[in-house]
Amino acid sequence: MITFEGIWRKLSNKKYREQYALSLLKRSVAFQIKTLRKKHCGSQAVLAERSNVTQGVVSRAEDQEYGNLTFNTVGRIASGLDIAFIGKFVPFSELIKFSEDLSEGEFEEIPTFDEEIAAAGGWGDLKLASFADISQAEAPRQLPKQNLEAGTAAGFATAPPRISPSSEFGSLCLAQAG
Amino acid sequence: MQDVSVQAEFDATLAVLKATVNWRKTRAFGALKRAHVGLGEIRFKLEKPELRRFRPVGIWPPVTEGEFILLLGCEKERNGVLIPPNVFTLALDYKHRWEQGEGEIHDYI
Repeated sequence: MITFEGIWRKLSNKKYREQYALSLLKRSVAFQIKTLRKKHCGSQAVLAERSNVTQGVVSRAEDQEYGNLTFNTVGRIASGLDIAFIGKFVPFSELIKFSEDLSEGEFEEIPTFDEEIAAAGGWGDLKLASFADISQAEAPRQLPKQNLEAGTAAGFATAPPRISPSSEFGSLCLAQAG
Repeated sequence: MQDVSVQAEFDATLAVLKATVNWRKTRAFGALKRAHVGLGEIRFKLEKPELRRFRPVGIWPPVTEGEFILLLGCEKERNGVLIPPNVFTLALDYKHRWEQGEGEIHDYI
């Protein structure tokens, strides 16, 4: 049985984890673009027009074997979808979790900017929610004092809870065993 | 045993295929036709250090919905030659034997 633990063991080989991470990156980005395009645009031509690229570019972006997408192209396609794309460095334990949780449904649920605003009940409610969060938030301890004000104003008043890779691995193993 | 790069590429291909609802609409999979009906192939390649294309073969359409049973590994050379050369005959034989109740699944993703 190939499990989280099984993949984790394979990742102990540097060559394996290098290839796995690279392949999953190119495949999962192409997978996401195709899933989101089908949900929000229908055809590749529509997404191409909204992204100001050719249909060939969209077609290549959806090709899991291609792997030569530039940040610029991904950015344009994200703009065409009206959804943000963030590149993020993560520990390998998070990469495994990402691959295990990967599903079309996960990405189909991502709203466009307008859908997000509509779901929040419009701009007014979003502002109120943000101010309420900021006023109730505890000041972050790890930020230098001079950055506190800027951080609070930007809405980063509280730092997200950090889970160490080892404890996350432990809890995931328990979940597998249970 | 294949090189670790091939294993990694295969595992990543499976991770994304697992997340794909309609396998017929992805280039990473192909249902075989004519003499090889009843089989499907997973398609992936490695470009470095040299281009290598792989076509692991399994039972298609699935016996149980949402389950793809992989029967054999296969590499496709540039000139179209398959390794092993009789991969589809072998795969059809394994499929037939599986349907007769022989064999067992030893990896499950």
